[in-house]
Amino acid sequence: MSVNPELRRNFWLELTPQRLVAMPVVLSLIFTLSLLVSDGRGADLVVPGQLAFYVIVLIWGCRRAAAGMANEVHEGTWDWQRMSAIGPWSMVWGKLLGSTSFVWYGAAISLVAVVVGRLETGLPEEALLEAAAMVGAGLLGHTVSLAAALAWLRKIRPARRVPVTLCQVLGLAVGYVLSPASTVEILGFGTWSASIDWYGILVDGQTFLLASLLVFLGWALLASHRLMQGELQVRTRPWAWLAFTLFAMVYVDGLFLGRCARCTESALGWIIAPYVVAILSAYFALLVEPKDVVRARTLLAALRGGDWRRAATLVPFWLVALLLLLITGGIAVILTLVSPHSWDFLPVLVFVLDDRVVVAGILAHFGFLARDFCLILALNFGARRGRADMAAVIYLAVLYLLAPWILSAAGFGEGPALLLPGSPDWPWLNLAAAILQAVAGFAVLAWRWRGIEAHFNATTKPRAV
Amino acid sequence: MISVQNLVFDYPGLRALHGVTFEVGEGSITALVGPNGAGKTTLLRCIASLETPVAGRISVDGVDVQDAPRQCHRRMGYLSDFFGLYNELTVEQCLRHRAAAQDVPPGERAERVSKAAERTGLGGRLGQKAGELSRGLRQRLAIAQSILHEPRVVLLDEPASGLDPEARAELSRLFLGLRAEGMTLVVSSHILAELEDYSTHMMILREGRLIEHRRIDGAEGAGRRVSVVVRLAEPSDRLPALVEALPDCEVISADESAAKVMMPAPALERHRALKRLVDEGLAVAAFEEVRPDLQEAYLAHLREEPQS
Repeated sequence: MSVNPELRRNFWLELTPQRLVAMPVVLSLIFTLSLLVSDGRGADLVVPGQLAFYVIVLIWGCRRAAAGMANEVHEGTWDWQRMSAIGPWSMVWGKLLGSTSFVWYGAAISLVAVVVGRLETGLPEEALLEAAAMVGAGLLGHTVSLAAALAWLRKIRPARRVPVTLCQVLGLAVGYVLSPASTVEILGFGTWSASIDWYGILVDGQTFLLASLLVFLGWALLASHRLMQGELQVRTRPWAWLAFTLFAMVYVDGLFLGRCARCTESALGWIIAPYVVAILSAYFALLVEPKDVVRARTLLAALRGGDWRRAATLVPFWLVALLLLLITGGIAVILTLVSPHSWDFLPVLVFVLDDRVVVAGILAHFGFLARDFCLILALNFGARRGRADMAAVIYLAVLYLLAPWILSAAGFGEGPALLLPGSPDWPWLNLAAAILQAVAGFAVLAWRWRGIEAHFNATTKPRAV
Repeated sequence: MISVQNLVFDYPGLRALHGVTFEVGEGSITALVGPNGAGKTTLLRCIASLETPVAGRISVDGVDVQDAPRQCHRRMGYLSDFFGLYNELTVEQCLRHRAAAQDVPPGERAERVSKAAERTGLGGRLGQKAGELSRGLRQRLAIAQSILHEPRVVLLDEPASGLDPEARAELSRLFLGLRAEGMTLVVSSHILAELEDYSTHMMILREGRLIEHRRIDGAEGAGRRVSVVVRLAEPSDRLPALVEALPDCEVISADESAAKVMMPAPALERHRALKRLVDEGLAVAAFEEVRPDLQEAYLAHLREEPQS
């Protein structure tokens, strides 16, 4: 059997004899010290073992996973890899396990200390379950960091500078939230010992976390694989993003309905979480994906020419999420219109029971969304597209936070209704403002597009013979 | 071996390649030349399937590079202008990794590694780390990496950059050797004199357009023209006018003591031209065919092509 070339290359770089000796020596000294300053029982190894594991695996490992990719780009070796015969999946797992191989070497030693300590006080199956969850959280964190590095690489071409620390922090955050050490609770989920209510079914917290870890690890691996396919010039269609968004809708809806028993009484209650997930998916995809003019022009040309096969490979992920958002939002509008007082199940919204107000709020949201998307695209179609997304985030922060705050503080009570979706007191003003801003957004985007086309056509006109 | 049809490549706000179309035959060495920013590197990267064009089709050895990029990569070697190496690995490890990454059968890897190292003069440096090599040796290692899997097509972007004259001569011999083994090479370089030593074809790109693609090794059929240099033992101010009057000839340069003329290739035609000059009383000391000067041809084309 042939060894994965990428894995072997990383082993050559990572597992040098000196490092293989140094790691156990340093960890042994740490564990010996912890035994000396405590009662000297095996159980006293648990906390230092966990600490060492998380520091090595999450902090160091996530950095290695992102840096393994970033270094190839910075040092000019990535083109060699892209020109090789290594397949996308082999490249992903070779990089994932290869660049973190030394990290896992240290993690394995730390994990032994944790399991030995746990076995002295607890049941073997609990110790093994915790160990499995720790390893899963580490793998998830590394995969997220690798996927983030690949996503960034796709986005910034041809500047090609990967911010390793940002990718590391993303992996670390995801890995930590789903690890047994997490104290972050989101919709009742996130802590190791708590039981979880998912669609009204009470599930043991540890089992749910471990199952979630495995499922999210699968999604993270799929994301890395798809992004790697893109790097290796293999054409893909956006079905994976569609599938992930649908999965996230179902998964989060279960947690949401577990926390809101009354929501299950109405069909509208089931649509709230999927709508929110679709919004997050659309904004996330729009900010993360490359949005250059060339790609947009190529997509339009493929659509005009009826080349559906090519067009499918160029459809942006955010458009897929936007479609889901419009579907879920549209369902909410229809359900509200066909069944009067349909939002009564939400006691917190008692004051907006007028169904027309709810519909106006949802439609206003569509309008503000169109404004935001046009703004982000117009900035990206500009000359300084390298800074476009950061500028867009700042403008959105001004529109959603700073400006409404200033207007309220200045005594314009209806001010926020001009900028934010959902205004129970001024629903029609809110809707009108949203429509106006959406139209303005489209106008700016069209103006920018025409400018680009005019400039481009001027530079590409056929030369006189 | 390489077929490019209507290739269009855009950068935001700039069209880098304007419907480029050409065919490269098997076993040829094509010199890809053009001014900076002409689109040479973009063209090579598109052929190597490292960039996705807006329109057009490229096939290498009959395989569409956009439909099956990984399949093409097995048949191709590419040396980038700005390549990097794994500095912490030894030369041997670099080559072994490359062999494995290119899916060379395990049983053949050791032989391929040693063959590539020998070909590029790195046989005695297999244990040395890539990061410790000089610039020229790094260039040789990169070339070894790109030919190790014995690809059908090798694309080289400025392969002689950083090499000393001796190494450049070795590189020429290496390329001719690769061609003799049936490989097809496309070489982009600014050093035209060196391309002249081994190229069979020349392709000129300018502002993203292919303005010339022709054979330059003289192996053309009827109607072929050659470049002939005439030197006089005693200078004569009549020489420029007399060569200008030669039938079916085109004067490239002429002064009182020498002239360079393009004329029909057949020996009889050349004999008649020589006889005419001698009959006019010129003291002809030399009348010899010279290989076409690539640099001259290139500059002549640039002068002829109007700037857009």
